[in-house]
Order: sequence, then structure tokens, then C-alpha cells
Amino acid sequence: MLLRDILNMPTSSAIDRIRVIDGPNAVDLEREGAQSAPSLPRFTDAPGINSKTALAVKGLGKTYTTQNGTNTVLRDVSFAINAGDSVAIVGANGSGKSTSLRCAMRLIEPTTGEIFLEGRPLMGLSGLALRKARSKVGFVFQKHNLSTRLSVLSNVLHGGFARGCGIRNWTHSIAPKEERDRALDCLDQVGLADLAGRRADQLSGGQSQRVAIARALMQGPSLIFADEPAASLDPKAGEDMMALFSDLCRRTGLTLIVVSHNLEHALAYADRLIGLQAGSVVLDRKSTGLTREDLAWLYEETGA
Amino acid sequence: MSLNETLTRAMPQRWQAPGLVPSLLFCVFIAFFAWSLSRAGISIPDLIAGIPAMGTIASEMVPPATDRLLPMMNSVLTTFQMALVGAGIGIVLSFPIAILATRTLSPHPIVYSATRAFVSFVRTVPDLAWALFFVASVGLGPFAGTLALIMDTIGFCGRFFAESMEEVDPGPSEALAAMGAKRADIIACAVVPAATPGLTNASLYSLEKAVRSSVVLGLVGAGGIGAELAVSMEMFRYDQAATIVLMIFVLVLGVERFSAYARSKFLDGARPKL
Ligand SMILES: Nc1ncnc2c1ncn2[C@@H]1O[C@H](COP(=O)(O)OP(=O)(O)OP(=O)(O)O)[C@@H](O)[C@H]1O
Ligand SMILES: [Mg+2]
Repeated sequence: MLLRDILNMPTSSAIDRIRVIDGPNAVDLEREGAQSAPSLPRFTDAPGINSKTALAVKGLGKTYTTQNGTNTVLRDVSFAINAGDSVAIVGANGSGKSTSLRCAMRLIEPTTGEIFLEGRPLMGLSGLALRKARSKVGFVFQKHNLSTRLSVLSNVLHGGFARGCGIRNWTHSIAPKEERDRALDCLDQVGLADLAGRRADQLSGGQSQRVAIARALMQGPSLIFADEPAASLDPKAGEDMMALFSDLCRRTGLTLIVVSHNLEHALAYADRLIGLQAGSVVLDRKSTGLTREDLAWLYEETGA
Repeated sequence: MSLNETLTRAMPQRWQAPGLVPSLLFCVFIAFFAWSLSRAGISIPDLIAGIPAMGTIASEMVPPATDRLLPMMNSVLTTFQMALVGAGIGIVLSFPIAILATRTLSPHPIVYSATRAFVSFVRTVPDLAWALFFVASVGLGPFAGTLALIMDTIGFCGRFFAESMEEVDPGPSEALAAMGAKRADIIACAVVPAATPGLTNASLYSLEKAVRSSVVLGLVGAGGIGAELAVSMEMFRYDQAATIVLMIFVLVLGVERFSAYARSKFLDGARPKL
């Protein structure tokens, strides 16, 4: 209910922006925003590493080497997330949100840092041990990453690989009955059970998004990393999806880490916010008592 | 104010005489071509002198002979079967080889480079050379020809399968890797589905290629219709040769029609309708 109100309200930051564009005292307005920001505590209640920690990263850094020099994308990123928490990672485009999720699962090899997943270090692992560790995390990608020439149901069945399912989960036509039923249940949870037989390249963007989420649910994960899961969903579906996630957190103790540009979602559904700016953690605190405007500084250009 | 006042005028350059080095290189190339022409043994008098013989051969070709129709059809069938088995086994063997030769799937960079080098070598050796090698080692007959076709197919499909699998969008593979799926699952569920159009195209093309080369392999004694063709030409039975050529034509055409059909079946929805 609170959320609806926020959504329908023309926010003052939007009005500020309009003034900034055409007003002569634009700079003053900007400075006002910048001055009010430090009054807000940016690092409070961030938990340390303890027995309840589901995921912890320490000093994570990533530097790409390109032809024209090096590009440091993550700088000393550290945070710990307790089991059952839902955390939103926020920040401007290119601030390193997707990269930190990928580095945390070592889909991109971090340049420096340590990662602990449910208490076990991830950095030294390879082969079977690494696959076992990764299987606990349902990763929903920004670009959905479905196998588009296969059916929706086959794509969801692939989530079963995380539970050690064999080659019968390759395609829906030979999968065991329990797996097929389970996959259809997952599709039902995202409201797509009627499209199970359709080829994945014949879906709308929001539908593919939801199939990717169903595939992650199919893993039976204890953590979900969702990179903008609501980005291509319509407002209602986005709302439903976030509600589904937070319901899962409450019912099954799932830990949720969600990247979102939708600050309403982040504030309403996440217990905690982690803010990134140019690859550094600049915010890590409870989300209670914050409003959209309190976060506007995150999206201001740092160089200007 | 006229319109052209506001425009900056960017006239493309006129032709200019090339510099000294390009002109010299061009002269060297012309000289080399002239030398090559003389070494290629091109001779207009010989061509003119050969015209009556060509006419005789052409006239003897009609009507095509029907006396050895059954054994010939049998040989054409053998040719096709050699091609089918050679391409089929070659395609199956190419698949694991191509996985080792795909940068993103290969277990180790050394394995990748070694497999790439092996495939390149196999491809550089011409099919007739493979046939001569296998005739010398396993004896005359279709087995030598089939082995040659297998090698030829590995050289071709090994490379093009690897390239199709390298080109696919890495996203779906990343998604499966992120959930801890095995390499085999990633290949089967993310790479192969996305590479299907490329894999199908390469397989069908290699079948067509195998049919065309299996005709020639018979000339060196590696089985099939090629041997019949060689014998007919040596015995001056040009009417028989004509029959054989017609049969080969029908075979190649049939295989090409089949490929076109199979392509349209497998490539559905892969590209936008223009
Ligand atoms: N392979 C690469 N080489 C060099 N730089 C890269 C590479 N991949 C990503 N980057 C850079 O890393 C930075 C962080 O990218 P990332 O995808 O993590 O941003 P993001 O916070 O997820 O942004 P968005 O909100 O747009 O999704 C970007 O500036 C990007 O240009
Ligand atoms: Mg991103």
C-alpha cells in the first residue's frame, strides 16, 4: 500500500532535475543535494562475517587489461550477507553491480579478494568442488541467457543440473516425470505454465525473464542472485516477481541478492542496501527509513 | 543566399598516378603471370588440332551405352554408400575433435592448439593423397576410399564445427556454468542448440563434398564408380562413359536436393525473413 503511494507520487527529485536543467541556480540545487547526503549515515548495521553468513566477499577487486591500458572495475568490495536476508545492490550504470555478482561466483575471475559461500572459501576451488558450491546459487542474468532454440520447459529443466540431474534433463521429451512436474510447478510460480511447450525464441522479453527465474527456482537454491529481475517486466509483473521473491525468502529462508535500478522495489523489498559507485562500496545500511531522494546522490556523476 | 553557400564541398580525389613501388610490384606481377602462362602449356594449335577428336568423342557418347547398366548402377550405389558412411563416421568423429578445438570448450590451451594443428594438417592433405595412402596401406577397394573420405570430412567438419561452436552467444553457457552444470550438459544444452544451424550446414555440405570426391577416388582404385569410368575411357568406350557421367550427375543432383530440403527443415526460425 505504501509502495503504491510512492509509485503514484511525483517525486521531488524528478522535479529538482527539471529545475536543474532550465534554472540558472542549477548548481545550487545540486550542491544542496550533495550537502544533505552526508548527514545520512551510509554505513550502519552492516553485519560482519559470522556463523549466519550466507555470502561474504572481502577486498574483491577486478581490473581488466585492455589494449589502451587497464580498467579497474571493482575496488576493494567487501560485504557480508546473512542467510535469509534480502539485499539490494544499487548504483549507476557501469558502477560494477553485474561484475560484482559475476566475480562473487567466479564466473569472472576476480583480480584480488576472497569469497566465502556458506562459510566455505570459493577462491581455491575448481572442478567438482566449485560446481557443488555454485549449485546453491540461482543466478538470474540481466540478459536472461536462455537456450532460445529449446522449449521453455527444457530451459527450466536445465535448472535440475544443480541438483545433480543427469542427461534426461537435457530436453523435456525425455525428462523423468518428477522433474517435468517440478519444472511445470516452477513455471506456474512465475505464471507461465501455459507456455511450457513454446520455443524460447518466441517469448516476449518479460516472459523470457520469468523463464530464467523459473529455471533458478528449479535449482532449489539457497541463494538467488538476480540481476535486474524486474527490468523487462511490466509494473504489475515486476511487483509480483518481487513479492514472489520476498515470499520465498520468508517461507524457505532463501537469501536474495538483487540488483535493481528500481529504487521503489529496492526500498520496499530489501532489508538492506549496498550502493556501488565506480566500483567501490559507498553505501551499506538498512533500507528502513530511506526514501528515493536519499539515494539520488548515488547516481550523480562523481567526476563533475 | 543560395543553397550551396552553406555546404562544405568535399570532392573525392581524381585518379592519380601510382607511386614507384606499386608500379614496380604491378610489373613484377605481370611478368610472373606471363611466365606462368608459358609454363601452363597453353597452346592454341594443340587446342585446334584436338577439336576433331573432341567431336568424335562427343558423337560416340550418344546414345549412351546400356549394356553394363546393372553393374554400373551397383558401382554408383557403392560410391554413394562410401560417401554416406565416410561422411557419417567423419561427422561423428569430428564432433569430439571440434570440441577440443573450440577455444571456449577445450580443456586446455595446449589441447586446443594441438587439435587445431591436427585438423589443419588433415585438411591440407588432398583427398586423392589420402586415398593413395590408404590404398597402399589397406589395399584396393571401397575401404580405402571410405577411410579417405573420413579423413577429408574430419578436416572440413573439425574446423567448421569448432567455428560454429565458438561463435555462439556465451550467455546460455554462462547461465549453466553458474549453476554448476557439467561441461557435457553445457555443451548439449547451451552450445549445440545455438550452433545447430552451423553444424547442420557443415554436415550437409560435407556429405555433398564426400559424394563428389568418392566419384574421383575410384580412379586410384579406392572403390566405386570412378574405376568404371577410368576403364571405359581407357577402352575408348565413350558411350559407357556417358552413361556413367549421367548417373553421377543424377546422384550429385539428388544429394544436393536432399541437402536443400534438410537445411530448410533444420534452419527454421534461425534467420529473419527478408
Ligand atoms: N570485458 C571488459 N573489459 C573491460 N571493461 C569491462 C568489461 N566488462 C565490463 N567492463 C566495464 O566494467 C564496468 C562495470 O560493468 P557492469 O556490467 O558491472 O556494470 P553494472 O553496474 O551492472 O551496470 P548496468 O546498470 O548498466 O547493468 C563498466 O564500466 C564496463 O564498461
Ligand atoms: Mg548490469
